[in-house]
Amino acid sequence: MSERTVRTSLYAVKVTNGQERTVALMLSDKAKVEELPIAAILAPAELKGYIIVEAERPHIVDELIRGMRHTRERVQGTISPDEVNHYIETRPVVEGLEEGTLVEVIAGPFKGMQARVVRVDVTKEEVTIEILEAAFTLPITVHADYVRELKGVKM
Amino acid sequence: MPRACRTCKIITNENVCPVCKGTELSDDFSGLLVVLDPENSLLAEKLEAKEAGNYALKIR
Repeated sequence: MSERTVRTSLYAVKVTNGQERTVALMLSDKAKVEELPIAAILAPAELKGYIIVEAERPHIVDELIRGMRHTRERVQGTISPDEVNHYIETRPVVEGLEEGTLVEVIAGPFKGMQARVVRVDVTKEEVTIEILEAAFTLPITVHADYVRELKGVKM
Repeated sequence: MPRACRTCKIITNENVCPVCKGTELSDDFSGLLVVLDPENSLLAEKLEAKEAGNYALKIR
């Protein structure tokens, strides 16, 4: 990895809820057209109402968002790079899941129910689970995102 | 229809990834990182993005 010559910081910008992606794209277009020294713009799906702009100085961010739709203001101060790590570093969603792991279904029609993992498909990132509350054995295959491991419980 | 490369995460409208030339593209992705200056960007370095462009953060 090449050494960075410019020291950049991360700044949060308040934006209209639900418009994070649109704003990030609009701001990147503006940065290109006006040749503003913006390094990157981050719009994680989990972060509602904010985007993160990477630039050398805060006034560049102020210049970028001035007069732009759906942008409110720049949040005072900078964001530590460590705080955005979890948005960027993606760990495999099937990590920690194995046969017999007790999980809770966190989305879909079985939301809130507990289940036991009977098979893990690492390449497809899918797990086959059996709902514990079901009166009869009903194996269902869902994306690993839909389940959360119940810590410390193995069957 | 934009799709994200499973290998390098760049979002493209093509059938082949413009960066790694891979063909494993997915239309089920979320999050966005717009890289404008890959050489000086900390975020691009974290995502291992070496080219300017739009990158997905999570790909299914």
